[in-house]
Amino acid sequence: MNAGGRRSLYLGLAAAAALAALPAAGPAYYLQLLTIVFYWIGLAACWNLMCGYTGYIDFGSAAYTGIGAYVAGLLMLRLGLPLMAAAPLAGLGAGLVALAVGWPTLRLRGAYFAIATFALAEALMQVCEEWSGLTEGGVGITIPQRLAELSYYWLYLGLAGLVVGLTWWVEHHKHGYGLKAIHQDEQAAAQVGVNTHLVKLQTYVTSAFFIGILGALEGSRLGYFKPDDVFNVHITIKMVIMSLLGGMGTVLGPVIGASFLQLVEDFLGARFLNYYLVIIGAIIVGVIIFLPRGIAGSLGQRLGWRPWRRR
Amino acid sequence: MSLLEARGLSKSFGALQALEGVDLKLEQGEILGVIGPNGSGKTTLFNCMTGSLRPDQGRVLFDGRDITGWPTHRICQAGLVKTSQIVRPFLGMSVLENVLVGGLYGQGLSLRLARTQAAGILEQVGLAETAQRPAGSITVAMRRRLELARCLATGPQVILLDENLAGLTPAEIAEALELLKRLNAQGLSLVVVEHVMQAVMGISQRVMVLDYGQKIAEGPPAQVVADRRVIEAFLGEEYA
Amino acid sequence: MSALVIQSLINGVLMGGIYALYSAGFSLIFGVMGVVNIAHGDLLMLGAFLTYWMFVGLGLDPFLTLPFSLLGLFVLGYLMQRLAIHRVVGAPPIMSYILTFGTHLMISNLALVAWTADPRTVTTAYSGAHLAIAGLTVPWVKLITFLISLAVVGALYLLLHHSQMGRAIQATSQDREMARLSGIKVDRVYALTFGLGAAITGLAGSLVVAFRDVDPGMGLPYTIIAFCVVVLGGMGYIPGALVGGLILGVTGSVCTLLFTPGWSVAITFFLLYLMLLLRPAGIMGKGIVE
Repeated sequence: MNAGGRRSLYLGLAAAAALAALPAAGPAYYLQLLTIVFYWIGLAACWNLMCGYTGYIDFGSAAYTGIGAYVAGLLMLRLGLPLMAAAPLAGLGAGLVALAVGWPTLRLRGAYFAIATFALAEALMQVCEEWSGLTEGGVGITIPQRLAELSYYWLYLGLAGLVVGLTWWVEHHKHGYGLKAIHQDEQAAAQVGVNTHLVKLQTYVTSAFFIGILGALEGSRLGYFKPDDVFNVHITIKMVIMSLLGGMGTVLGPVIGASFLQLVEDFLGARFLNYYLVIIGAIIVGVIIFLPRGIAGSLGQRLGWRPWRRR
Repeated sequence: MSLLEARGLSKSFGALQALEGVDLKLEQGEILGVIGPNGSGKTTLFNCMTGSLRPDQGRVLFDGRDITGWPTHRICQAGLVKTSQIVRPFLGMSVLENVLVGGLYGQGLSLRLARTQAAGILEQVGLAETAQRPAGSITVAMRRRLELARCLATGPQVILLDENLAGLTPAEIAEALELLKRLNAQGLSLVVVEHVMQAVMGISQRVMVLDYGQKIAEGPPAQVVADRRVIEAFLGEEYA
Repeated sequence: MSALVIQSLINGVLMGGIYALYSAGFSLIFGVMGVVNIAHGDLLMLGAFLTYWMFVGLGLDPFLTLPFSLLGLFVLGYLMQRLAIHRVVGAPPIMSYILTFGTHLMISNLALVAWTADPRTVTTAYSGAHLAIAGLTVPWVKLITFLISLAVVGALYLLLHHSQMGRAIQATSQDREMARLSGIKVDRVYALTFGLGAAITGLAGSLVVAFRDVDPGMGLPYTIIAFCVVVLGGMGYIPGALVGGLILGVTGSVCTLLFTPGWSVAITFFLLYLMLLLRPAGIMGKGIVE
């Protein structure tokens, strides 16, 4: 591990400790806001782990929040499982679906991968809407179990920390070099011995596993949801935009991007209820045009300061 | 038994017959040159042997195993790699990291061992000083050596070199040939595809000639260049 | 086959014409610039609203609004390309997805603020008139929109293959650098292409009011349909949009009849997914494959 890596590790640990101490001091509004921020950091970090590092743009990641929410929801509702047992099972469910989906789909490239994953997520949402015998369809389901608000804060903080930590670990170990090699040139990677399909699949399934757990928890936090709430394409797009804003394929990119976008959304949503999506759109367009390497990447570069530089 | 053997390889792309029943044999420690005009099937031959393409017919045997149809990464791990005609370093990574990938995945080394090994290989090919530079920032000649270094890191028994000397100056070519000879002396077997005939003739113990996807001659360099069919293929009939 | 099925086949074919029309614009933009335009459906929505407002405000016949949406959306598309899209041509594809998604958010939400979410319908004196043959009905308006769609897709094909501008577009899409070297103003070609793609999409929007009501949120589903259409027909291959559009129109219409609209959407997406896995170059195999 080099000096820079160790420094960012300590920085991360310090930040995590500060956040852990926060609920004792802060008012409820901020607690809830931070809970949501951590949820999105977790999701964006999952997306970034797969897509940021390999360059495969999954436009259907909401499939896994949806599967997570529904698997856990139905396990609780129909079998009476406790949330803490249902959530990991939901993660496994999402992971299994990711395995089945990723196997053929990860052979596609570029826009085709993006469109295929997108199509599949939409199809799953429709199935969920229509198969009301299993899922209650468009009526939605009400989750009987809800934890205390503070528990979600801890769980999301823990999961976000776990996925970001996992990203850091990957970045500094063998797997990270494989992922980056795939991103740069998949054929060349195969020529020097990288089993590209396996490396992609492992990462994809891992990422879906965590997205599934997050989806399961968020489902219970919401208390009630319909297919359209948990399979929504806007969930995917938010993960993508957060990773992109922060800087794709970097450890802290999703943390920065998710915090920024979620806080901006909260700020604007409270003040400009009608216009806030317009403003979000304008911010996205502005960032792509003026800061194409993400907020951290572009600003850092202009200031000659690059703690998140890809090594 | 030969270390590497191709038996009756055929491959067509639509109406174009790129390879037609080509045989190839490479013995342990040998340097085999493959020459032929543009489009004669040299690159297709390499791609069929290393799993980038699946031959329509024929078998590839390596180190006593039938590797026909194996995926590229598995063939690499078994000890058969090729350099690409168009150099493709991982541009966003440093020179050292490029070589690391070969050690990590080609041989399954630990990160620590792969680092040590990569440093040694960079020393060997003369890239030690550029180890930390981004692979996108080095010259073409250096990229060719990096391509070779990355292959060496996978711990191969055989390297197929697809025009690894293209675009180099005569001085650079001489240097590169020295390196290949040194590697060969250490026990590495090589198949060298080259457009620069002289270069191949200089280091190959044996040469085979491809034309329109077929093998038209094979033998010691001096004998092959005197072959009437070879001269026809390269210079046109009027010179023969 | 029952009359009901035949009737829904007819409806599907008629709707397929519109699908083909604006998907041809989507396909053109992708083929030439490699840009997947997520705001594409919103351009269609704008065309539809333009027709609605001209009909309600000025009392103009919907068919007479066609030149206005063609021109209006051309200008909008041209400007969009000049101001924003040209920054992402040649960049990693994700940049174009995100940029055009941001554009989608802006257009659809501005429209929502300006025009509210209320669905609006365009009903003319002749809206109910139809051709009746053997118990089957073919509304005249839909038939005419279908014919116009076919004519415009045909015209686009001719424009691309037999005009100076079309040749410049083709050359640019095949090799940007070669085109530049041979004196083509590549940036202008891109802007023209985007304008052209937007223009026929606006036109499709004006035509779609014959089939349905108009609301600001209608855009995104049309983008999604465009994905399906161009994947079926082959990305970047214009005549493919026609085939893809008809197949999708018919599949959607018949599945809706046999199952429910929801299952019809699910089936469409599974079809799209299988198509991508099994035949990414489209049914005719003439699309761009990465």
